[in-house]
Amino acid sequence: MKLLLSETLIALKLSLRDRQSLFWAFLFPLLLLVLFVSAFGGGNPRAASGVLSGVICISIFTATLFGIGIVIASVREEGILRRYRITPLPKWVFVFGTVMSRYIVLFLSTAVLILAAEVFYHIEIVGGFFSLFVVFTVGTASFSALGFAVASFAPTAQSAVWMANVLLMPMILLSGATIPSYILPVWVNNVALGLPSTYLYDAVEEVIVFGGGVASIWPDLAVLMVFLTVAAALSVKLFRWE
Amino acid sequence: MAEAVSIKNLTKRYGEIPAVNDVSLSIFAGEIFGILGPNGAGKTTMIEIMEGLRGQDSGEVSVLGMDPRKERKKLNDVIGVQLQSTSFFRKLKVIEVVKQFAAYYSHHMDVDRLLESFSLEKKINNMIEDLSGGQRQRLTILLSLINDPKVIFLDEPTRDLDPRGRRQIWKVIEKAREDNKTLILTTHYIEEAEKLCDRVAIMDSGRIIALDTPGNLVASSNAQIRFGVASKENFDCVDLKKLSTVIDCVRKDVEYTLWVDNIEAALVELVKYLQEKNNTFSYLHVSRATLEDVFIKMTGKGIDE
Repeated sequence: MKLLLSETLIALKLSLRDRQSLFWAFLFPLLLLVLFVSAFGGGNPRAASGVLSGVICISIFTATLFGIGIVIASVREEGILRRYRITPLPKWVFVFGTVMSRYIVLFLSTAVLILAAEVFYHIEIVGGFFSLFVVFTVGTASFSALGFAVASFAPTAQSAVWMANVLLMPMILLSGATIPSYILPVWVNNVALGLPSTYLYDAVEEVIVFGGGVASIWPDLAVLMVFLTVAAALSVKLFRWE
Repeated sequence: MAEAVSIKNLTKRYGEIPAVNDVSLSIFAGEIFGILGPNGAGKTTMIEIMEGLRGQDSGEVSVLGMDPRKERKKLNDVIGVQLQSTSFFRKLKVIEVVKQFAAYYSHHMDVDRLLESFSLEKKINNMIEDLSGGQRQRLTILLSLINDPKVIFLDEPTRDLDPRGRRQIWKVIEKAREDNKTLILTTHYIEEAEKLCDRVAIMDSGRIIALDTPGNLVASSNAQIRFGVASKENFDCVDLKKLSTVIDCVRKDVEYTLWVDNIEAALVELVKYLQEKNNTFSYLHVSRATLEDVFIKMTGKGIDE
């Protein structure tokens, strides 16, 4: 228990001391929010809510695919993780610390984002903070597992960058987070149903825009949980220190 | 004496090439054991198999009675390992790294005292990225001792260190000897092996080609007799090689160098030979082989080749 805490703290310190990751975590979502709202919003609070839902999802995708997938693959390539192999530290404790630290940073940056959205665009989380918290937590856990799966699959840091981008593009474009699904052809939406990102956006949008609670988003949550289980099992099996 | 490490018929291949070739070896508890060898001799591979970092193709390995592959996490708690190259997260402070690694073990040494004995106590709030190469190297060795391990593996611990840093590591190794630890180290510095090790194994092409105390290795090796003579007429290496005690002879300008097993017997024979020829020494220099001579003779190459 103490070890889980200290491992999380170390990973958190590393995240907070990295200026680049701080920019991506805190400023990038705010910039996206302002940009998208001024592009599509036109002062309509409902449209701004849709943008907020999308930006929250994009933050989760990038924080996990880049912040875990690419980062873990590169520190492994640098030989940093090799030193852990000769200690009794179980892999899962390291994984837990990393995920937990990303979760905390993402939690804080999302809170800042929501606060900004409330102050500047008068957005209300219609479905309530608790429901949002549940989706956010399940979503972050699922995509963290995907991030670890990327780090485990990729033989080099370079290939992790490649994989993360290949995964990120359809997730951002097809989930509804940037382009509304009703303007996409049916077959594209059918493809999107095969991606976990679609379910995350659907659930976040339901809570923020339409006021749904956990009761109405449980099918999305169930899909994300299944995805989480598969990705977590895969990454624990494939994860290597070097 | 109790065995700390037991290796039987160990073989590890990379493709077709055996990196470790049918090695059997016992390392005793409380021993400082050195593994010397040219680059690519298989030292690191063998040490990493003992640490459980690599599996073997065949043969048996037991460290403190444990199978390094099957009981790795349990073994990791009681051994200390310094890897040949280690990197750390650049944005962590020295004290954070040390405390973090200490937390991984079921028990650990006093962190402050350990930092002091490696002269790192003033650097504890420095980021890893601000440490010099020598300080970083000292930190990696410090971490290998943090769990007060029974067996310590050091893979080229003094590589890239200045003489002062090297002496500091030697002190740590001497301290480990006093504490009755088992210490296994590979090194490029023959002087280091000679000074520190109870026994030395010389490895070449995946095999152990010699194994003894540094003293015995040197003693069992040829000594050298170098000399000049007053009259060079009728005097050359071809005749000298016929002497029963002489193994080899080389003439360079006016100097003769003989390789002999037994210095006393060789000197007696040589003096007699000179008297028969009515010749005398112009000078005479007798030297024992150094461990380096032994190494070069056995591997056919210098240690840095």
